[in-house]
Amino acid sequence: MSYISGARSVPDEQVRIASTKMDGIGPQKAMKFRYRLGISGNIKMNELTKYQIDQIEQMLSQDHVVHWELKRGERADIERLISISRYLGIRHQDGSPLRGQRTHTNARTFRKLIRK
Amino acid sequence: MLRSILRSSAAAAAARASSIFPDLPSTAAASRNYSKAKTKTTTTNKGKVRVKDPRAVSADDASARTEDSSSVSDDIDTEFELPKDPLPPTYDPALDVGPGGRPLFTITKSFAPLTRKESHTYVDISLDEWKAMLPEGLPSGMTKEFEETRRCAVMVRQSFLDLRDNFRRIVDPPLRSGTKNSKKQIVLDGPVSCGKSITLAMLVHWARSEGWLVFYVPKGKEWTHGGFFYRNQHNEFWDTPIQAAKVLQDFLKFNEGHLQQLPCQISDPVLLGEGAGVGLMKGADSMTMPEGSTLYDLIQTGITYSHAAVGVLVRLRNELSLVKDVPVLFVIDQYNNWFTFSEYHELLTWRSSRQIHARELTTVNAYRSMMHDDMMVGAFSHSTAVGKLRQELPDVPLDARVMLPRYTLDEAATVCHYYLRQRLIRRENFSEDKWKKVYYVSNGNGSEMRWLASFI
Repeated sequence: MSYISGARSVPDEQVRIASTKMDGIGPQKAMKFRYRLGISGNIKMNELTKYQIDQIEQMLSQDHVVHWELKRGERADIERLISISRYLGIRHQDGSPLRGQRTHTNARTFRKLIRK
Repeated sequence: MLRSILRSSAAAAAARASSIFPDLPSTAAASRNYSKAKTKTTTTNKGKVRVKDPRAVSADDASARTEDSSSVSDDIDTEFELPKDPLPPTYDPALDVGPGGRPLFTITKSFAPLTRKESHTYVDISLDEWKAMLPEGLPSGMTKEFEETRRCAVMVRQSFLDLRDNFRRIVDPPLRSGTKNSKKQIVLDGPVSCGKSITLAMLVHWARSEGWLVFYVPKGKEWTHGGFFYRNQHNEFWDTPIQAAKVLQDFLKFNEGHLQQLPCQISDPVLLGEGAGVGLMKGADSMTMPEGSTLYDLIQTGITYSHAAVGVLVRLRNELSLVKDVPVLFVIDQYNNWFTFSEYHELLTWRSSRQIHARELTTVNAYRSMMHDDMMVGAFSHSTAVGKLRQELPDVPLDARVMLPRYTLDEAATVCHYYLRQRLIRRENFSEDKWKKVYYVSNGNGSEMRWLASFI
């Protein structure tokens, strides 16, 4: 098991799929990374050299927010809303939906996710 | 005279191949007792001829045979009847009968002595021998045929003999006609499953047995798909170092003997590029080959240094065109993949990218063109989803395209009798009407006929 910017990656997985497992990297960004680094679609994670992994990490750190930095940023945004007592912040604290959905019925998924 | 020189060098190469593959019998020594088992006779005192029963074997031979059966290739079921040396007791040569009572198989060590009389017959060559002669790999259609029929036999077709004779006339031109009717560059096109790849493989087998230097690419698609791709520092092309190293290794496998004797004729330094996953070489952008280097040394350099793989492969193309001691033949399968887009993309901005065409790859650009004086055969493939290409291809002579036909009725008859022999068709269900139905329904498509044969 190898780590790229703190995210675990499965060695036998193709790079275009393994890189999407990182928070902040989706299929489009993964594709652009591959084109920039010259990696074709069938290359697996265990075929990458240390030089290439360093290149990926450098590219990620330069222009993109991924993994724990992305989560920290999201958390900071939520806490800012809570600290200035915004409606959205209160709803975050209560564990209720915050985009105008009904709560008289339904809203089970949102409450389940928050509870977790 | 040229042929005798080439054959002696081929025999030396085969002896070297036998030393590389010590478990395999050399081609010269692989003379089976198959023909002896079929036609061995003993004369009595009264002058009558008595045919010896090939199945009458001693106990010692039976035990030796059980030991030999373990050495047969894993891909073919060893319990199935195969004509080995000596023949197994269950093999009945009387069943090797083609249409009209003609023999189904031709006994020969190579494709060189075959004439039109032997067309529409099968030639048995062991899988080990195929792999020894074509270490780059066999075409997928061929392996499929071998697996489904459980025998490594190929049919000698008129189209193959014409192709072989075409190149034979170029190297050894007859006195009267010379090379008037011969083509040095050929593009094999044709419908699906008409035998293009198998014809190429047989041509490579023949050329290598004649002692030629053959550059064989069984999968042209691999040059445009997979691996890493980097922008070349010296020109506008794109390098693919992994594919280049693999091609050099494959080329070295069979041709090592020839390459050790051929000196390098170009003294320019080899340009270096980005290695596979290791970046650029620090402090050097070219590499000079020492004086007196051979092509073997050049290829070894390309294999050892990933940065030099692409440069060496391009240099090899130029060196091979200067070789005059030995006939050189370039054989490319899936050639149509080199006229369409590759798998690779160039990132223009973060939001837009451009697909790289095959002609922009350094390796493809070096080997694709047919506008030269070297012998070259390219075969199109329908297995790679390239689609329809235009009639006039760039860098290809206008008269180079040759349409390979599907099976004729005679060839289909031979094929069906072969499938009957290999028990793909039940003997009690076989009839002329039925195999003709199979032929007309499939329209001569080889793989379809093989699939339909089981429904007879």
